[in-house]
Amino acid sequence: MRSKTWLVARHEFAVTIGRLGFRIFAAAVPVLALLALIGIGVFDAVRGGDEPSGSAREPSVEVTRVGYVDFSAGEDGQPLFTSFHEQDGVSFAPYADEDAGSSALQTGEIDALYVFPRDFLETGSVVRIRMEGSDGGAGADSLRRFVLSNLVAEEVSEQQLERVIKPYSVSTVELSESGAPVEEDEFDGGEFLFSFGAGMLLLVSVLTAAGYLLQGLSEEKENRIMEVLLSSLKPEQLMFGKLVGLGGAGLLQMAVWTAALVAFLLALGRIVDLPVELSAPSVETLGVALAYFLLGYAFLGTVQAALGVVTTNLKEANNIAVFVVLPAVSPMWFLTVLIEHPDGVLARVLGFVPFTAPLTGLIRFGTGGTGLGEVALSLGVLAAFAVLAVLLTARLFRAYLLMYGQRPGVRHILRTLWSD
Amino acid sequence: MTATAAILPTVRADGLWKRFGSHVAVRDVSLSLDPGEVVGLVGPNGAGKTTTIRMLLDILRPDEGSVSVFGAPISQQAQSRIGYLPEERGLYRSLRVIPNMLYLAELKGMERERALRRADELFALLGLEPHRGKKISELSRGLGQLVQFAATILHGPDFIVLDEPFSGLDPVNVRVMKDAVSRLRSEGAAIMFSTHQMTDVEELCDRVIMIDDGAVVLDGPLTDIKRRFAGNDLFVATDVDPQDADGVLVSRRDGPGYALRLAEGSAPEDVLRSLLERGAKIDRFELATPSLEEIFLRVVQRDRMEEARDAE
Repeated sequence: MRSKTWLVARHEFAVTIGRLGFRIFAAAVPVLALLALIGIGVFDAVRGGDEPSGSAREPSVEVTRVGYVDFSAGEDGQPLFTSFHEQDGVSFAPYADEDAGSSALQTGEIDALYVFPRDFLETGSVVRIRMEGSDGGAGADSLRRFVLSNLVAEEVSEQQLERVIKPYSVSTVELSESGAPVEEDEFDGGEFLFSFGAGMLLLVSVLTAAGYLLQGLSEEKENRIMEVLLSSLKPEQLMFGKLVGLGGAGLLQMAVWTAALVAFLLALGRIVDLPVELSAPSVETLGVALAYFLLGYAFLGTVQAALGVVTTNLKEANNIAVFVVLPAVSPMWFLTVLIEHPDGVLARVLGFVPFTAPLTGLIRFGTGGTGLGEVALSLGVLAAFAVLAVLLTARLFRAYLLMYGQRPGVRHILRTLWSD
Repeated sequence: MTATAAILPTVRADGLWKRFGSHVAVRDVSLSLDPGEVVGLVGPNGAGKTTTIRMLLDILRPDEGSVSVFGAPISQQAQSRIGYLPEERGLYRSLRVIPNMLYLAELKGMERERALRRADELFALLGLEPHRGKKISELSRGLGQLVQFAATILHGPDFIVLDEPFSGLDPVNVRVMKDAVSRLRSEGAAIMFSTHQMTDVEELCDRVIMIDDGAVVLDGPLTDIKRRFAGNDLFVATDVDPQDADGVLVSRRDGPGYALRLAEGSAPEDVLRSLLERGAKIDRFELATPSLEEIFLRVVQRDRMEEARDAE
């Protein structure tokens, strides 16, 4: 005879993945990721790299042409802008007067015309002329570089000119109490993005599967099939079967979402330039994500099952389930703190509280705030709480599965939990 | 080896007690069912019938007492030989008929293919063929009940508990189900039949167990119980007025015959002898037994009065 727990698990898995809602939900992430990629790709192609998109942007090979008319005069009475005409991808073409420049502007030879007045040195004023509706121009950085190069380049070295244009960039070194420089953790953007994304998807998967568990139990109590089931199997078999079956469905959903997330991040890195380098998540990260999923689901799912047993209907169960869902998502409220101080007190505490451990643990691991040792400890604590939850919920199953229409009092539940 | 081996009861309960907090739901209930026997479990609402049934099926554990099924404490193997149709019916409403039945049959240890074949037979027997592809939510209450009955007996159980099986069924489907119950009995299944419909009990059951206030107040063959509550009343269909026959206290015309109340100390055979001596032609001569419903009301009222007396 096949295990009844297995039969229940198979039934729950098949029924759950057969639900239209489950299929839509599971397909939502891959579809959204695909749409996002298409959207980003199209947007990037349309923009064509006109505007700087970040420090890692490749220099544009296309040269912007602007014109200028130089009425200015230096202390020696000579025009100021005669030496440097090519600046940072922008070509500055001199014109004798405004009419000549305007003609070039109208024929599209140049995108904009800058007129430097005679008193430029005193006032710093410059007039930009461009066609109506056009956003053509040299850009603030190029214009600044053009002006400074022509004003001081002949009097200073090239390096000094660079410092005049970009005086400094600051990097910080922190010293430990012993005076030695503190080594910064190597931040792997790809690992972090995966861990954070996987953490969110893990939480949604866990809560979805736990929600189905709650819903199924409430329905079976409401439509009275529970009594028929219990004439065929033990409450513990029903509970374990449901946990395994719905956990399998949640795992399938998580696998689909994770694959979509990895594919999305890798494809995103090829389409656009990101400030972090993306790569496929490591086996370690995948393993940690899987462990947190399994144990997180075992704990949260079991707690949800307990709520399904002691409540009288789905509406009531859902209302009480908020007390499970809110703590589980609470690490999001402290996301900034967790990212900036992944080895801080708050991060460590949340990493050991069973409700918050799955999401916190993955974020901490992704930011490099914790090693495998602490992760293993966190998983161990989570596993211990999951086992405790299973043992206690099994008692509730036997005591309250057949209690229809009335909710046991808190004192009665506590007596049941701690009775021999 | 003895020539006549004792029949092993299908189910046997000894001294069952069940309390919910301070409320005693079942008190010292003992009963048994033999193979091929149909027993009616009757009693007023809240008497403890459902709790007793749940303990027999190991859905609830008794606080005291023991249950044995097929000669041993109930086990998963034994559960696989039990069919249970609970009072409050329930199937997965969003699933179709066949997946519902197959799941429940598999939980009873039945192979899927065999369950499918047996389901086809039952659908034909119960007239459910046109509905096999429908979702439970698409069925009427009566059809849903027939499907649940089919699921109850799909795995060929040897011990069947039917709790109010006919409620919500039209007369045609009641007959279909009663015929199916008779067939199961003839095949040797022990059937416990809990209902408030005393006419159904009289029609189907060999024996009656009456529970009131958690305790068994009557247990025995239907004919014995009726005789016990019959008193000294007779019904006689004859061509002479039996008023003057020996031992008759009151004679009253009742349809095709006479309802007689006998004098204290008189026996029915005295009346019969007296009528025959008078040359009467007798078409029917029988004890005027009360209906099970009358017995039920009498017992319950008696218990209520005793309770009230005890309270005083």
